[in-house]
Amino acid sequence: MKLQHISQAEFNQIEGVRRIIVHDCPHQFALLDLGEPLGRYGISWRSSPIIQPVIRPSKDELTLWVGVDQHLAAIDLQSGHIRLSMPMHENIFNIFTMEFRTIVLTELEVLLFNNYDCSIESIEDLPEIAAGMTVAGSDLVIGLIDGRSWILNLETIKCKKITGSVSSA
Amino acid sequence: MIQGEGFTINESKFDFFFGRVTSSPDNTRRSRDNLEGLRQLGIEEAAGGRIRLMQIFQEGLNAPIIKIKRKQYGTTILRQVEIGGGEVPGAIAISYFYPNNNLNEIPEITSIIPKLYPEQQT
Repeated sequence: MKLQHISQAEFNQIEGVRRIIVHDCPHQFALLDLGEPLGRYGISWRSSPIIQPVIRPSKDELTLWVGVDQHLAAIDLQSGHIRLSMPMHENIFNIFTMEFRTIVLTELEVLLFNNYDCSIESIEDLPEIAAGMTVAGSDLVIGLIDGRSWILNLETIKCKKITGSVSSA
Repeated sequence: MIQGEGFTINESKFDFFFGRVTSSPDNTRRSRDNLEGLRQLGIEEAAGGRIRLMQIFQEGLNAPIIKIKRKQYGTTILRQVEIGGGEVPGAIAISYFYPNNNLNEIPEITSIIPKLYPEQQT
């Protein structure tokens, strides 16, 4: 698997269905090469080079998750077909793969996907911009930039509590 | 919370918009990208950028809607304001959050997305 930065002219030569992530006002272009027989996929995004695509294989290595800026995609690593390609409301921060689900952390949301078919299990809004994420037992703990933590129980998919007090970033 | 003309915004958002958030690698990169995007649009904090953003947020209340997200606790309406006068032309997409799904309430600014228009290819 290789991510290669390319020009817009090279991106435009990629077959339309293989452009798995496309943004308006794009400034960065890349080719995701999954080797034979899967082939190559195109990605475009609008941010500066500081921001790079997040690429994570699922634990069973059957799916490859790719996210950058406001778009998420998932590729079937056996057939090469696109299992999911969807725009997001917020910029993607990170993707975490677990045994049965994949968690996508954005600026102000946490999205849980079922690994079985990449369907959405849950979308949860955060009360402030995310700082980081950890899993503690059955809890998903999201640190927020104001110093608080937002805790989601992964068994009930309910927000348990917001802890800490607001501080400056 | 800062009261704007027709909106509110948490003080900490300006840290995120102007590149000062460093609490994780993910939000550090995004905060720096916001800073760079705003700079190229001609909005710099040291040159009145915060006041300019407040004007843009007010202007954005009547800007075209590009997305809506409705949830149990509120509605987020994303509007886009065209920005000129900077190094490059572009736009800022602004998220206005209406608590309790009441669009008559004063919205809170929750996030922005600076967009730089690409050079036209010939």
